[in-house]
Parts: sequence; C-alpha cells; structure tokens
Amino acid sequence: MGQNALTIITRILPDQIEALGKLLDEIGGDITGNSWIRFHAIKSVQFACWVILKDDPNFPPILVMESSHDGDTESHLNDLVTFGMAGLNAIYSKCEGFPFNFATAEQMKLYLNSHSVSTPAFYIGVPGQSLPSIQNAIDIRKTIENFLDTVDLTEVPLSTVQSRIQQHLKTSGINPQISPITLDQQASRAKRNLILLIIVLAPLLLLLSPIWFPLLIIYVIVLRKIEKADAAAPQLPPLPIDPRLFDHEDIFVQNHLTTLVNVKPGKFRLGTLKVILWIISLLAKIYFITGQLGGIPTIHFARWILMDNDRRLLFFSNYDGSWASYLGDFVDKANYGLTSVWSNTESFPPAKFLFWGGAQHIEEFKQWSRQHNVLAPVWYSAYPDETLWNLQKDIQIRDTINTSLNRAELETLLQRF
Amino acid sequence: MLDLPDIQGIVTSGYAHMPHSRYLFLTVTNQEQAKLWLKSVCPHITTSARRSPGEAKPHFAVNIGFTSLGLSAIGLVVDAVNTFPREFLQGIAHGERARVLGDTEDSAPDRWEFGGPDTDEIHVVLLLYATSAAHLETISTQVWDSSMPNNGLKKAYCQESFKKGVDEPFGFRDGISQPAIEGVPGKINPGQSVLKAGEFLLGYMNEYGVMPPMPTVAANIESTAALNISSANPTRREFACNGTYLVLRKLSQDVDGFHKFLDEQTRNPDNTSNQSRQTWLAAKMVGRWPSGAPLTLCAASDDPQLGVDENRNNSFNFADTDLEGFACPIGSHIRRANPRDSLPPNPKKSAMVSDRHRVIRRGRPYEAMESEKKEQGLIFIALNADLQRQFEFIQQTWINTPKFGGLYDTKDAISADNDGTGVMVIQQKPVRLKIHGIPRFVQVRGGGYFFLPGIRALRFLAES
Repeated sequence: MGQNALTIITRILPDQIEALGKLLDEIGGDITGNSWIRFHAIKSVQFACWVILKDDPNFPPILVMESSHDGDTESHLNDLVTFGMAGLNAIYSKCEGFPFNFATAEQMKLYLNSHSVSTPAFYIGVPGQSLPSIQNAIDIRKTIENFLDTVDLTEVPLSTVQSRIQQHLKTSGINPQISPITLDQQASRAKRNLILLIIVLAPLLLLLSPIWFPLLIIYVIVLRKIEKADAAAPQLPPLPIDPRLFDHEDIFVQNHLTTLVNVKPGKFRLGTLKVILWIISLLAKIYFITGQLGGIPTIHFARWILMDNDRRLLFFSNYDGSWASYLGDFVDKANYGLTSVWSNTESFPPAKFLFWGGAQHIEEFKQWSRQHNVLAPVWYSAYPDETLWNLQKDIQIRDTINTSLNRAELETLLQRF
Repeated sequence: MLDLPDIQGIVTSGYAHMPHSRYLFLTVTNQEQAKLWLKSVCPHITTSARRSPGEAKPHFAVNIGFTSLGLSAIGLVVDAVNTFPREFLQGIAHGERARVLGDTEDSAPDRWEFGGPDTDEIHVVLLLYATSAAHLETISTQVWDSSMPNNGLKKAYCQESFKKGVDEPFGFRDGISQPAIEGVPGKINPGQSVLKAGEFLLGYMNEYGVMPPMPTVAANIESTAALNISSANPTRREFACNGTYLVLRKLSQDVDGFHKFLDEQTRNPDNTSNQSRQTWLAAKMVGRWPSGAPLTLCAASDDPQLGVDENRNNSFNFADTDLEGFACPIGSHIRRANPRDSLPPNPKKSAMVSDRHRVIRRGRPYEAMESEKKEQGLIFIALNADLQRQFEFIQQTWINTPKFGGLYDTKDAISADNDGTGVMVIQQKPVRLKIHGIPRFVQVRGGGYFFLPGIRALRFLAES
C-alpha cells in the first residue's frame, strides 16, 4: 500500500477569514486533544495541515488542506469524515460553495473531492511504509531499546544476543510486520531505475540531438537574456515576515514548511517550471525513493502545487530539525534542483543558467524563504518525534531482527541502537 | 587580500601571551560624550596588522564591540542599524534566540548576571588583555577610567579572567580545533581547516563562494568618506566591512557536579570509586582525553604526548576509522561541535557542510569565590560572520539536538540543555552502553551578541 497526496483548495468567504483563523488556531493549539478532528484515530494519515493564504490582494483568500496518507483517496476521505466531521463542517462552512448547514458524510466527501487538485510533484521519504507499518517499527525498536537498557549483554556471545532479543519480543507480544519491500531492495530498485532511464534516454537523446540541440541553444540564450533582465530589474519590496512562524517551530523534532511564491510572468518561466516539476516528479517516483530528495536526507514528505491558473507555486514539506538546518541542507545538498525550481519565481536570488547562483546566496535565500513562509495553524504529524533517519533504522531493525544474519550483519544491526 | 590594519586584533589572535584579561560591559548614558570617549579609545584598539620584524610583542591588547542597542546608542542612524540581521538586532537575550540556544530554566536570560532583560542594558564591550596584572590595570585606566567624569558611559558589569594554562575547568585541554582564515599569515596545523575569510569577516567571499549581506549606511551622511561604496547600491557605504560578530557567554561549569556524576556512574562492584573509569567516561563525553589527545587516534588510554602535539592532536577524521563511534562516540562533544566528515550522505559532503558551520573560539576560564564556594567556568567567545548559520547552528542543530547522527534521544552530555534525564550513548560491541540521568553541567550566566567594527567604521562611529 503506497502513500498518496491529497490537496484540497477552497476559497474562504471574505467575512469568515478571521473566524476561520481562530478555529484553525484552536484546532492546531491542541492538535491531538481537540474535539474537532481526532487525528490520532485516523489511521491513514501520516501528515496533514491547513493553511490560509490571504495576504496577497491580487488573489482571493484561499484555504489549502494537504494530507500525506496511506491508500486511496476514497478510504482516506472516509477516515477523515469518520473522525473529523465536526471540524470539517466548521472549517468548510466558512468556505465558498458549501451549501450545507451540517454536511452528511457523503456530502462532505463529495465537496472535498470536487475541490481536490492534482499534485504535480510529490516526494515520499519512506515509500511503501504505511502508518501501521511505521508504528510497528517504532514499537519494535523501543521494546528492544528497553530490553537492552535493563540487561547486561557485555559478556554474552554475539549469537545469543539475537536470540535473546527475539525471545524478548515474543514474550512482549509484539510481532515484526516485515515490509513488503525492504530498504535495501528499495535502494537497488533506485539504482536499477536510473540505469534503465539512462539506457532508454541516451540513444533517444543521441538520435534526436539534431533536433533538440539547436533548440537547447536557443533556449539557453533566451533564458540567460531573461535572467539578466530579472537581475537588473528593481527588486520588489521585501514582504513582512510572519512573527508567529517562530513560535510554531521546534516544538517537536519535526517541523513543517509552507512556501508560497508568485511564478514570474510569461510562458517561458511557467513552461520551464512545469518541465522541472515534471522531472522532479519522475525522479521522486523512480530514483528519490531511498529517503533522499536530491541529497536532502531529512524530508518525510514534500509536494509542489501550481495554483491560481499557474500563477502561484505552493510548496509543502515536513522535515526534521531546525528551519536553519533544513535551509542549509537545501543549499549544501540540493542547490541546483532548488534553484531550477524557484528561480522561476519572483524575488528569488538571481540565478545563472537556471541551476547556478540562486540559493547559493545563502543569506538572501534564507531571507527570501522566510518572507514567503506561510504559517500552518493546523499541522499534524503521526510520529512527530521520529526523524527520517530514526525511521529508516527502525524499519531495518524490524525487518531483520528475525532473519538469519551472519556476524557482520548482526553487528551492524546491533549498532543501530 | 585581507585589509589587516582595518581588522580588530582578536579576529586573528587569541593573545596567548597575555594571560590576564578583563571584559568591561558599558552602557551609553550620553551620546555626545560617549562619542568623544570612543574617539579617544580608537588609537588604542589593537588591529590585525602584522608586527614589523624585530618589533617587540605588545604588553596589552584592546578590542571593542557593540550590541545592536549599542550601535543606536552611540549614534548610528536607524536605517543603518536596520541593515543588520535579525538575530543581531534581537540580541542574545531575546526569547526567540533563547529558545534556539536552549537558554532556559536556570540559564534563562531573566536570571542572568548581565545582558538579560532585568539587568542594565549593555551597549559596549571592551575586551582587555595584558601580559601582567599591572599592565592590565594600566590599560584599563587608559581606556576606561570610571573615575573620569562625564565620559558618557557607565559600567554595567565587569568580568575578569585569568588563563592559567590550557585546560578548561572540567580538566580538558581546550581550544585545539580552530579554523584558520585564508589570507592570514601564520602556521597551519595538520587537520586544521583553512576557511574563506568571509566565514569570519564581512566584506569577503565565504565558503559558499558568495559575499555575505553587508550592513550599510547612507553614503550622503557626513564622515562616511573612509567607508567603501557598496557595490550593490551606490547610495550606501559598507559600514560592516572588516567587521565580525562576537558571541560572548559567561558559562558556569558545575565542576563538583560533573565529578560527582562521573563517580556515581563508574563505581566498582564494591562501591569504591574507580578513577580511571571516571576519566574514561569523561573522555567519552568529550571525545578527547584530558591531555587533548583525540579518542579517534587513541581509544584505549590517554596519550599526553599526542595531546600536546599540534602536528597530530587535530589531524584526524571520523569516516575512515571511526564512523561507528567505537572510539569517539557519535554523540560526544567534539563530534557534535565539528562533525568533520562523519555525516551523511558522504565524507566529502560532510566535510564541506562542517566547514560551513565553524566559529573561531577565543574563550578563557574564570573563577571566583561565591559564598565560600568556588564558582568557575568559561567566558566563551566565538567569532563568526553569520550568527545564525555558525554559532546558533552549532548550538541548536548539533549540540542540543537529541537526534544528532541518527541517535534517538541524546544531547551533548557536556554542554547541552540537559534536564537531569539526559542520555548519552557510548557505542561499543556487542551493544551500546547507555548513560542515564545527565543533568545540565554548564549554565549560562550572561552574554551578548556584539558587532566588532573595522577600524575605519569605528572612527566613523566616533566622528559622525
């Protein structure tokens, strides 16, 4: 069962913006204990958030909901309406096109479905791991941790250590539910996919080079001309930074980032952006399946969405650690990819040839990012204190503890704790 | 080319031959008088200019820094002050910074001896260093004579420190790993990173290959002529060129508590103390033996010759021989403060990332008797061009994070904001050893974020 992205975009009734803000603050203020949406009961949701986009007078006020969920949309919506009907009704009664006093489950699903939009690019940190599978892995690791804390195994032969752990798991009544695909298999799949991609693409590119090569040259010339004009253009006034962002960060080990930016005007920029997003989407499906998005190892889920007739680009991500370290990772490890996406949007630090420059101006980039950050008053993570690195270790522990291991493998396994 | 005569001396020297030091924290009470005072101090400020051959080593050194409030108080116009970054403008005691740094509970700014919200506003720090106690008094009286009337400043706090040897109060050789600035003449030790000047000075290229943002002042106000015209905007001049940010923190070290904890954790089966095991545990927490010898190079026992040998004591990496942390634990202090090549995705990338988050340390120990009890610790000083990306990053993302290096729930055992339930994991075979119940051994007692202007900018401040 794979994870999927649900994104729902609705217009907010102008006289209800404030009330909606208050409601979302209330829900988000007690994310697991509120009576509006019982997130912990929803077994199909790994991450979810609601954001209000209202600060740009050129666009109507908009509410966006994102969830990263297990299984298909239908069953996820069923879960949502089962455990969050009060909240959903309260939220969407403040949005346009909601004709109900209190929608029934069917009406609500229909409403949400009709406002859901496609996600052009979606990245998953541990593909194929459903929430129950993740929770099982965490449980197994914690159970073993507690066991290791209470027994002294320094004098015990290595081979016995594994059987004693297995024995402890058995008596604790926790069964490892082995992943359909192990992380190792996932890694070899990524490698295989890349080779296949090259095998398919290389001859095609070579064969068609008389066509695309001259086009590419023209493209690059035009691009560079536009980039130079962009860099010379007067800078837009800086946007104010929402001070509430800082209070919402670093409460858990994980954090959430929503970034909203205007796409630069013109078909050239939009076309470039769409192609880049398509490539990211492709790579996210076939190559970035081992827990690294372009080299960044701390992202659980990320998605890009073009909205308002492709005039604005919305980016959601759920990541580990501080904002500063995340942004630093972006620049240190994914600078080219990042610049190729956002150099097509307004106020981004000047790029060279689409991939260079840009985010390399680390301070300007951070400043830009902060100015375009949007607060997510409601943000839910099903496992907020678990880093992706933790999760990968937990899954490996769970998937191998009951298998027969040679000495080196067993030593590696035991070092994960 | 570095403009060494325009750079304050502490950036390029730790004044090792001057064991006596005093940190004076001042509040501006009268702007005009304070400017006159600053003008009189300018000639005394020690710069990074090289001594001419044969010139004797000086007997004292003076450096000066300003908080963001201090820059305003001394008369820097608001629009110039506002070109400084958010962290600096907020100051170290701001709630947001305190959260980032883990300055909470007993270390919270409202409990500080200086620099906090409930003590005198700090505008200026004078850093005074001297070869002898007598010389320290001489220079102190020269640059700051509190008996002098009408100098427009009052003393908010004064901190003495005396550098007895190379050890910090927990008993470990300190200050070994220090990045060098590209372009500053001097010996480079094996294993020492040589970093672009823009990591430690404004106005130069940094490790990202770009110029960091430059605080500026309007070009049309008087006395700015000595400052460079901003390349990005010809109506502005580069106020911060050759300047840097200085973090100062008074860190109180609970030496008794530290040794008591080590003792409790390492008792023999018959409940007697085990001295060598205590040293071993402390070394595992730090990542070096007391002599300074890195565990990665000598895991079994201390090697004092290695510890003092500048050619060897910092010449190591983790990835090749110690990636798993069997010698130097993954969560140890030196591995967090500088992960070198140990982090994913690969050693090369990790080394690059580590180099982008370094500070130059100029800390010195202090001690004092407080109600019959010896109070001791470190006057921690760090220099960097970007408070958020360097000093704060190390503290937040490496020292205080429970998740460093893929670990689950362990902060830096030495210097993190532990609360008595802290955990340390010591990697060993067949399974790790876990130490529980770690308290906070290092408390923050005061501090500030200061900007150290270049000499020309200093004169501009005094004259404008």
